[in-house]
Amino acid sequence: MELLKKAVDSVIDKDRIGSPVFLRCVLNVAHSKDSLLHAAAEITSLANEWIPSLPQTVYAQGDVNASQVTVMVKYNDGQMAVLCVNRVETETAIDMMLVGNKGVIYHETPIGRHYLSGTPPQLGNMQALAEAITKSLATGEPIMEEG
Amino acid sequence: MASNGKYGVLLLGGHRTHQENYAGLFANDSRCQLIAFADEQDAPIERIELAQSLAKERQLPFIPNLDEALAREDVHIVSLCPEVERRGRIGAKCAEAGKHVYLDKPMALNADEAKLIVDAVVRNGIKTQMFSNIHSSWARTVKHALDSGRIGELKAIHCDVMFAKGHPGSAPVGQKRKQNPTLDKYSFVEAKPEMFDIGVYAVSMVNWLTGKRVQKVFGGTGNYFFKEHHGCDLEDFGALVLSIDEGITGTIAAGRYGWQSHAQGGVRKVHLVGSDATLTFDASSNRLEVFAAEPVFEPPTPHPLDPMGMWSSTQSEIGMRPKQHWIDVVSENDGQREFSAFIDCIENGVESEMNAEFAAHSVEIICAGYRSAASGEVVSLTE
Repeated sequence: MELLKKAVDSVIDKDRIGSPVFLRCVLNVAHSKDSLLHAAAEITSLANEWIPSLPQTVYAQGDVNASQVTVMVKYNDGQMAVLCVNRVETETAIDMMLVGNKGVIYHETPIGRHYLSGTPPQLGNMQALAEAITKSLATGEPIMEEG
Repeated sequence: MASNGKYGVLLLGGHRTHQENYAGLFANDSRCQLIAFADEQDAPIERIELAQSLAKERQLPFIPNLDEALAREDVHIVSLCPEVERRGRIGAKCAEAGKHVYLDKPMALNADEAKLIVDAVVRNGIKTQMFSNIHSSWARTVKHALDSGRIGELKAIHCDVMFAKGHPGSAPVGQKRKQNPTLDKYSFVEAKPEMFDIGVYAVSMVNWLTGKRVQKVFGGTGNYFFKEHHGCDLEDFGALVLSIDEGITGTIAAGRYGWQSHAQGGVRKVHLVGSDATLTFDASSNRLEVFAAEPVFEPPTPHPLDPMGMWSSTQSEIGMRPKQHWIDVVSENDGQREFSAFIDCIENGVESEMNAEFAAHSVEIICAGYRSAASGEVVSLTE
């Protein structure tokens, strides 16, 4: 995700979209037999880095060992993120919309006949809010974060 | 049907309502004839004047007594576009009069008001339809793909509908919205509750695509963009996570985010996540992209009576120039298809895919979303 993060950071840093208020992200993870928790935690980390506030509530639905998991994060200053990770048999790809109070960044990994031109997101090792996601999935309730 | 073989259409709501568009779309259907405009005798004076002005523009009479208008035998259909706050009561009255009712979106202010309409419809056996996106060509494409079984068993569905209108950057930054659990007032000159007004497209799309009921809702609202919404204590953005029957997860994001936030009218997108495959549908994906030595799109000067760019008449008055960077390579008849589908239902005696009973569930879900945003809790619709 580093390349994507760097590109997005450059736009945020120039204040082109204003203050980020909402991240919508759909991440397709290909050919993985692992839990989706790692990927969900990674895009949650991205959201936490771009949203200029601390997470307040984490709510998750789905099954990290099955087809999909969906996470909604609410931040202390009112921002939100809705993050979806899906297990697929095609290509790893991301479709995101980072909304600022004055503009938007859209990014979609090229798909179909263009997919070789794209830079599929590379998952790193960040584990932000993994515990909260796991707890919300287990209880079906939103989990309050400290901070 | 009238002696001339046409359905007579009574129009409620005038300028600065969607009746500006709906009247023309009914008139374009050769099976319909516009009869008159009307309103309640005690309707707000401004609303009566706006209905009178649209009636004059359309060279139709204005009937100041709704009961008299509904008693006319040449009225078969009512196109209902009063303020959202009056829709439940008036919609029920039209149904009790035995008229078919075309409902502007959202059909009512809350679930109780929607039930007034649904109950009257059931008692009188009339046909109804709420305006939505389901008759658009892109929505039909999504439905076809889902029904084809290509993705296997549906596991999750995500739908975003955003309107690229308004002048953003004027709301206070970093100020958390305190959401009320219920909406008392919906209609303002300068703003509407956008999780409801735009979110109803996304929620009704999810309901229609899945054909299933939502059990639980977790939601949030924000005042991210506009001082107008902040000043009216209405959200300009909302997001919901839905627990749908059979373990399906749904999410929607909806709001108004500014004229320059999208190359066209705003994001309209659906992701289907299945046991065998995932598919993404973007209403703008089948397009030309035009780069030319011509002026770039400039946001219009806000109209004092419509700063968010809601109405055709006000945008025409300020000489609004359309965006021309992306050009759709699809049918431009989505709006007409919506209205013709309703007349088809009446003619054939079948229910609309977005009839009052079905549409009422969208109202129920969004209102639960407000309660969730207010409490921070998951709200159940089944208790």
